[in-house]
This record gives sequence, C-alpha cells and structure tokens, in this order.
Amino acid sequence: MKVELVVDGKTLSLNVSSDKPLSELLREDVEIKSLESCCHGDMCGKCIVLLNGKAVLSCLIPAFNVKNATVVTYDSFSKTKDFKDIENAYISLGVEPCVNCYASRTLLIENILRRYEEADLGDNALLDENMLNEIMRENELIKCFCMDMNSFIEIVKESLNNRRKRNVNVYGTKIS
Amino acid sequence: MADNTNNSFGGANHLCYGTLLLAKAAAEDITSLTLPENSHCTPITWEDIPGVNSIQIFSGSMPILANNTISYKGQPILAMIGPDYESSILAIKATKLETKKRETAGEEKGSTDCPEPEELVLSWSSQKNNEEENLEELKKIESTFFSKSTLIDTDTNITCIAWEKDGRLHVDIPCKWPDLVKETVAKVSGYQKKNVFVHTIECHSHYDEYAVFPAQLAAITAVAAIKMSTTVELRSPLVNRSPEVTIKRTTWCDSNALPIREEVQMTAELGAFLFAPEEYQRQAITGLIPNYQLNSFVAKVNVKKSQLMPSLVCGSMGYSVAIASSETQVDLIAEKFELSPLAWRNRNLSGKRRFTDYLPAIELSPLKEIYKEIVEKCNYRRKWPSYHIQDGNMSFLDFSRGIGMAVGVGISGISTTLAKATNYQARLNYTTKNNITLSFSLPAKSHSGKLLKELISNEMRLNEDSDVILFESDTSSLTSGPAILGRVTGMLPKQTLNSCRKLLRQAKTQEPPLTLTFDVDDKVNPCEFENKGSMAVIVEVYTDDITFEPVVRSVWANIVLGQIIDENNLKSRLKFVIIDALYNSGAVLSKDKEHPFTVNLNLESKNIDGICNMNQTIQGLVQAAFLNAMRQCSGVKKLAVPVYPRDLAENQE
Amino acid sequence: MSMYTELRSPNVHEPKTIGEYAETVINYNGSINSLWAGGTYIMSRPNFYPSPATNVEIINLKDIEELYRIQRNDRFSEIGAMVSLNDIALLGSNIFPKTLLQAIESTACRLIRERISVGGTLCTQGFNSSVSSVLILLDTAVEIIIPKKRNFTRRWVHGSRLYDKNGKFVLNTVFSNAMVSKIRIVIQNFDFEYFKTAGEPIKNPSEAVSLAVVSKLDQNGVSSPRLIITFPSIGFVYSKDIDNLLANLPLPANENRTRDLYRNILGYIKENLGPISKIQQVRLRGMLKDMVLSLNQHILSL
Repeated sequence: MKVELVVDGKTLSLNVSSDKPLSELLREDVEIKSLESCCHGDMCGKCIVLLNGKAVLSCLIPAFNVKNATVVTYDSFSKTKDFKDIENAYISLGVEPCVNCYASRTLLIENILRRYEEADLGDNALLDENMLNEIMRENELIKCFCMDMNSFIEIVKESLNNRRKRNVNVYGTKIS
Repeated sequence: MADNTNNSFGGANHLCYGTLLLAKAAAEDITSLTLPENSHCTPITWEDIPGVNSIQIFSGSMPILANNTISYKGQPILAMIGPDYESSILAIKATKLETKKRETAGEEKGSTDCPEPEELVLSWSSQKNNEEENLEELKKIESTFFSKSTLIDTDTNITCIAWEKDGRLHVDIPCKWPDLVKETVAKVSGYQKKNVFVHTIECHSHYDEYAVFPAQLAAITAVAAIKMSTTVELRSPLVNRSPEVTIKRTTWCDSNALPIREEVQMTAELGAFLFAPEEYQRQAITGLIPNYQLNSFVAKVNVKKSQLMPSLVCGSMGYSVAIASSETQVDLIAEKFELSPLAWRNRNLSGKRRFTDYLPAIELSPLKEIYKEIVEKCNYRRKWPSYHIQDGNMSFLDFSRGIGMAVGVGISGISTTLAKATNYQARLNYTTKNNITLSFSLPAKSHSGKLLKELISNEMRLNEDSDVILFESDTSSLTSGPAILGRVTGMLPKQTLNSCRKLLRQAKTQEPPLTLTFDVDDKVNPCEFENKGSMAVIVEVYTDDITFEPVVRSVWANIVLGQIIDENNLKSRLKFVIIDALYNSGAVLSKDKEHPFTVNLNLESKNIDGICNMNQTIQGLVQAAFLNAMRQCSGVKKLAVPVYPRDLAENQE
Repeated sequence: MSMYTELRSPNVHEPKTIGEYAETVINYNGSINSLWAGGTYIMSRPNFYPSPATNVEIINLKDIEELYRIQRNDRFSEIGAMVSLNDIALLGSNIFPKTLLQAIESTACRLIRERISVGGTLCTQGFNSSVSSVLILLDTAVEIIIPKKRNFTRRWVHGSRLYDKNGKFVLNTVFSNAMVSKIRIVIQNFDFEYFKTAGEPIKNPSEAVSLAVVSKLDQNGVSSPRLIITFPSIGFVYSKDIDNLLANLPLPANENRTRDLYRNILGYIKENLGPISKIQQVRLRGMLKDMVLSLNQHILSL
C-alpha cells in the first residue's frame, strides 16, 4: 500500500504493508531513532508520537490509517520551542525521565499542555481534581517507573507555566 | 527503507535486516530444522560461525547460537536475514523447528561449561561451652525467604548494526560492557581483536539488560555481515531475568531477645549457564551477615543450574536479596519476643558487627542515628502498634495496614578476588595542552561519565567541559570491565581520584605529557568488599480491600553516601531505584487523592572519597521494609517476593 | 521498502457510506476478515503484524460519516458506532448514568479512550468489556445493519442480543455480515448506582472482574435492581434470578446476608460460566460487600 504522510516536516511517500503499525513504519521506513519500544501493542507507552497534533501510541495505529497524516516524533519535537518549555521544567525541578522513556513522556506532557491550551482553561485548572486524575492515569500509561506521580504532575504544572510565560512574551498579553 | 550509503557505518551499498529465532522450550534436542522456501531470507546458524560458537564471561561460557541442543527457553537458535524486517520475521514464523525432550542432561558443544561451585561457607563461633546444651534453652526463630524468578521484559528492542570495511569489523550497539562485545565478536568472527571496532550507543540499563545480551547479538550480527558481505542490522527484544532464591534462616535468641546463634542456608538458581557463580556467592554471603552481634554464625550459599535463561546480574548479584532476608528476620525475632522492630533495634544495635573476609567490622550504633529521624517523621511509634492490633485478621479486610522498616550498609562494585582475576584498567593522561583525558573501555556518554568528569575537574581544578575529556578506549590493551554493579559510580571514582593526585604530584617535577595507568579495582582492600554508605527505610502499605493489591502510601528513607554531586539529580535517581524496588516487590503506588504516594528522601554526605553506588542496597532494604509491612498488613507470614494479589487471595477463606 | 511487501499487504476497503459498506460485504462475501473501527484491541493482539496470512480483506469504517453522528433528545441519545468512548464520556458527563461514565473511565486513560470506538467495544470477539456489560445493564438498544443483495436493512435490537446468555459475542452467527451502526442510550435516573472494576482486563483477563449495579430505592428497600458482573475472558453474568436475590435482600444488610448473596451469585457463576480464579472470587466478594455497604448507607439516609 502506498502511504503518503508528513513526518517531522518531511513529505514522504512510502510503500508499506497496509497493516504495518505506525511505530514499525517510523522505525524501519523513516529511521526514527527515538522509537525503540517493541511491545507490539502491549501498551508499554514508549512509542508515543503526535498524530495530527494529538498524542497516540503509534503501535496501535495501522499504516492505512495514517494516509495524509502529519506525524511529529520526538526527533523533530526536541528542536522546537515547545520542547524547551518542558525541558526547562525538567531542569528547574531536577527531575527528568530516563533515556528509555524520555521521548514518550515528553510528548505525553506536550499533549497535556495542548489540551489545556485548546480548552482555554484558567490558572486554577490544574488544581481541578478530575484533570489531575486524568494526568495521573496518563502518566501510568508509560510502563517505566523512573518517575513518580507527584514529580510528573509538578513537571506538567511547571511546563504549563513556562508555556504561558512564553505566550505572554510573544503576544504581549496573557493567554490563560 | 532509506538508503544508508552516506551514513556513519560507511561504505556498504545496502542494508539487510534480521531477527532471531528463539527457543520456545528448554532442555530439548533439535531433531530437524526446515527453512522456508522462497523467503528471500538467509539463515545464520551456528554452522555459519567462522570462529568459536561461544561467549566467555568470567569463568563460564555458553553458545552464541544453539547447536543441536536447546538449553533454555529464549535461547537464540538462528538469525534470519532478509531485505526488510517484515520478510525476516515472516521467514522466522515459517521456519519449522522440531525438537524432542532431552532425556539426559548433556553438555553443549561450544561451551566450556562452568560447573556448579562448591558451597561457600562463612562461619564463626566464640562459644566455649557445650553449644548443644545451650541451644535448647534458647528461643528458635525459623524463616524462609523466597524470591521468585521474574522475567523482566523491557519492552525495548536492541538493535545492532555490523559491517566490514578494509579488513576491519565494525559494530554499532548500545551496551554496558564494550570489552565483552569486542572480545566476543573477535572470537566468533575469527578477526583479531584489534580489527574489531565497537561503537557504543548511549543506553540506560535498569536491570543490567545491556550487560551480556548485546555481546551475543553483536556476534551474530557480525557473522551475518561477514557471510552476506553487506551491512546487517539485527534486532531483538531485550529481556533479563532475576534468579529464584530461597534463604532459610534459623536464629536462636536468649530470653532478652538477644541473638546468640544463627544459621543461614541460601540457594540460588542462576539458569542454564553459570558465569561467575563464585562472585554471586561472595556478594550473597556478604548480605547474609545480619546487623546484630552473634556468638556463632554459619552461612552457606549454594548456586545451582536450572533450565532457565542464564542470570548473571539483574540489578544485583545476590547482595540485595541477602540483605532483604537479613532485615526481614529482625521483624520475626522482634515479633517472637512481642517487641516492635524499632524497640528491638534500639536495644540490640550496639557494639560492632564482626570483621569477616567479606566486609570490615562495622559499628552498629551509628545505624540508629540513620533511622532516628525518619522514625519520627513517619510516626512509626504510633503506627506500628496500632496496625499490629489487626493480628492478621483479613476475613473481610476491614482494616489492613502495615508499616515496615529496614536498615543496612551498602557495598558497590565487584569483589577483590574477582578484581584481581580480571585486571581491569583505566588510563589518565595529562596532555601537553594541559587537559586531562581519561581513557577506559566503558560507555563515556552516560551519567556516570558526567560524574567522573566533574570529579576530575574538581580535583584538578580544571574546566569540566573543555579540559576533561573522557575517551572510550578502543585498544585491545585496555579493558575496564562492565558498567554493572556500580563499578563506574562505585569503585572507579576512588581510583581515579587517587590517580589524579598522583598525577598532580608528578606534574610538579615533570613536563606533560604524563600518563598513568591504574587498576580500577582496589587491591589493597583487606576484605572482599568495602562498606559504602548506609541506609534506613520505612515503608507504609495497605491492602486494597477489593483489588487485593499491596498499595504503598509512603516511603521514608535516609541514605548516607560519600561525595554528593548534583543533589537534585541524585535524589531523582535514587527515588527511581526506590520506586523500582517497590514495583519489583509487587507493590502498586497509592493514587488516593488525600494520600498519594510520596517518597521522603534525605541524603547525607559523609565526605568519603568518591561516590557510593547504593542501588543494590536500596533494592534489598526497600524490599525488606515492604515485606515487613506486608506481613503486618496481611498477617501472612510466608510471603514470597514479588507479592501478587493472587498470593494474598490464596490465603483467604 | 521491499517489493515482497505488496504480496501480503491486506486489502483495505474504505467505504464512504453504509450502502458502499453493504456492497463491499456482498461483493467479497465470506472473505472479509475484519471490520476496522478503532482497531485498538486488534492491534494489541500478539503476532498481529506481520501476519503470514494472505488475501486478507479489511473494511475500514473510518470514512463512513454516518457512524460518527450523535443525536439527542430528552429521552435518549443515539450515538454512532465510530464515536469514541472518550467523546461519549464528554457528551454524557451530565446526562448519562454515572455507572456508564465510570465504566468508560475505567477502560483506559484518555489517550487510549480517544481511539476506542463504542462499536468496536461492543463487537470484540473473545473479549468482554465492562462498558459493554453496563450498556446491556442500561437497556441500550443497538442498530444493526444487515447487508442484503445490493441493499441493506436496519434493525434495532436490545444490546444483549449481540451476545448469548453468558456474554459470548454471537452477532455474526445470528445475522451474517451484520454491523453495529449506532446505539441508543436511554436517559434515565437511578436512585442507586454502583460500579467497580479490579485487575487488568486486557493484559490479565483471568484475574480481572467488574461489577455494575443500578436500582431504584424506596423505604422498603431496593426495587427493580439490575446487576451485571463481567469476567473479560469468560463472559457476562446477569439474570433475573440474581436481580431477585438483590431485590429480596433486607436492608440494611449485615455481613451474613452479604455473604449469602455472594455465595448464591458464586454458585450461579460456577453453574453457568464455569470456574473462575480465586483472585476473581475474592475481588467479587469485596465488590459485593462494598456495594451492600453503599446500599445500606443509601437506605439509612432515606
């Protein structure tokens, strides 16, 4: 099956088996280095990419469902200003994911930040119990125990603050 | 697949991709192997190996690819190399392997099999009178500590690329033991060691999964690259296994709850092939020595073979499981005398732990200081008795909580005996450009590497980024061993610091360049291991009354280390080791909104030269504290680790 | 990529309408291997890819716009089969019974829920989800499409008709090539709702169990209660007999009566579904006890 898609800003036309998981496609056909998970759909959570702007487990997406899609992997995301918001949170809190889950956990945090931005939530949104529960559930998706729940929530909060500060600087007004 | 002509593994005009066929059952003979027709794939079997079909690790060896006999489930049988992974995986699926159960345990070709070692015994006795008479007057506390073997699936692929160029064999692989990769590839391919180049890729090893298997995979990839005269990429899931361990312990105490005599029998199965069983015995026996004074003590450690995947090292080599058993025994002794474990420790942690060949004498009373603060913080004095009133009543689980503590000392690195046998080295160069290079055959791009850089720059008063260069030596004359058991963060820093000081002294009288080659292992140490840091930990758990999951609410830990560099980062890493130890013990972390899981971690520095690696100790003590808490919580005395909900359910009416 | 890939690459059909779907099904009569909704469960099966099977035909439902439609009125909501569980939870956060929302939330985290369709959840072969069981409990109706020669018919059935009495998925044995196109969830209120789940249904189905209960309450106790238990790899447990046991439970109930309730239900399970694991037994016991405690609290507050 011919699949045309954009990966990390590059338009590609690939001839792959239609049932090939996106994770395998990215690893083998696009040579994305940040994907080394091999759980084959067992939901280890270490193959997260942004598919059309939303985080997905790439091992659960077949090739026939990514036709004309836009995929962002950690390889290109790590060169963006959005990444800096999260990286700075890691640095300022002195907590960072291990090498094995760094890429996925970072993209998962980005997905949470985008959800907050899209929903245009106020400053207290992160204190909302349901939101926190949701974040905690999502952190558990990644089967790597290098980060406890509190640290993860703190990183999300700090990243969100960094993102808001940057948005204030860029637009001159505060975007809540 | 993208063209790799211009990438770093230069020159090959195309890539081939392969996967491994792994054995599905142990102890079988291969009766026939039928390869698929028209699969466009090339099989690589043991017959394709130009050199020796064997990987040598310390005193043991095992075949790289199974020849006619399968020893353990998961053993590589062949590699299938094809134009893409899909084809090679399908070819593997289409390969028909017929086997029959092996009737007699036969020796495998290609391995100089390491036999089971003799029982290692440590004993002392200061009993002058007739001991047998005394024993009858003493109270006897018997326990069995059982640690199940667990297969650790990292959900990660390890990928190796091998190619040949100008008579040299290149291998790209993530690993923690580059020497072993090089040695094995050379031996298997028939290339001279100097013509094998290992390019290590940064990796993070949670369970030492990057210690042994990468060498095996690299060797197979290299053989495929030679056979097919092209660049070959081979991929395989990365797993490791922890051994099954049984520790039977009997302690005799006098009427004041003071231990008089103790006998310990530990049996560990290390899988189908043994590599350094004596080292396992040494590490284990060191952990079996309890933190209380004894008139007489006998510890025996046996290592057995089994039909499981070999387990050389899985975050530990017996020390952690041994100290876990020692610390769980304290709770059982205290319980026998109706004392709280804290009261018992306060009463009996005094004097010196005896000097043995394995560890120097240790003052025991300072251990009280380590737990004093966390005992207050967690309100242990109130919680322990209030949880104790449950008395194992879990009939309908109205109330099931537990709190457990453990205290112990750490070791890091390998034993003096093994160090002497291996002669691992590193080299420090003071160059004409006034910078320092440290050459060693260990992965430089790692957290440990960064720590070493910082240590050297501090000691030599240099700029860390520009003046200190870590150099992954690729010469066959310098081998620095594996980056396991804290060899890099535990032993190398001390040696490096000593060498830095020597070099500084030399620099006063001589002009650079100056070179100092040093052994990375402390050979002047009178014992097998040095005491490296200490720790106290308290774990609070409850059993969920519906899911039956052992849920950990909080952990309080106080860790005494040597030099602390980057405290925040270190805390984060140690927290991970604690959480990991809990998960490996079967715990889940509390998600209760009012009481989410927390780790209260305090670090103390005792200005010891170099850096301690406390991973083995943390694993063991956290496991012990968790198990102590679970015993109080569930009322089940014979719990094995990991504790699964089904185990707790089995003890229900 | 290799030239050999094409040889085994499954053929994917992407109909835009139900009519096109029916046409494809008729044209490839008997050779359609799977209907692809969210695909989460199929992709998570071991050895899914690469599969040595050849001539595989897949119908991908993602382009059928009708399957995403949502219609609401005061009495019910009709939801297309391709609507994700997450969207159902968002849509129904204030109107759907709490039991359903809890069952959806317990399925997986949001990132996964966004990929799971309600149609896929109902029609997974060999796996019983707690969402499906709660939908049955709530008397959810299901519209099924039955392809006929050059045409198709629509038919509303009770959700339980997709399964046999023990929860085995039987839609395709009853109606050949049928597909679920939408569900109708009745807007209703209960005085008492309870939902609990334990274990990992997909990864470790032999240890997982969930319990859902809805009922009306009055001064006399429970009226018209309904109870369903889910064992992911075995099936559903629900019957009038069990509902009657609950209806006849004098409230507030003490521990002995709770134990009797548990024993009777366990007896029913053993008789109809066969043995369940010890951990499933103790988890079910814990849930029943928790549910009765909650019922007691409700009754005492009336």
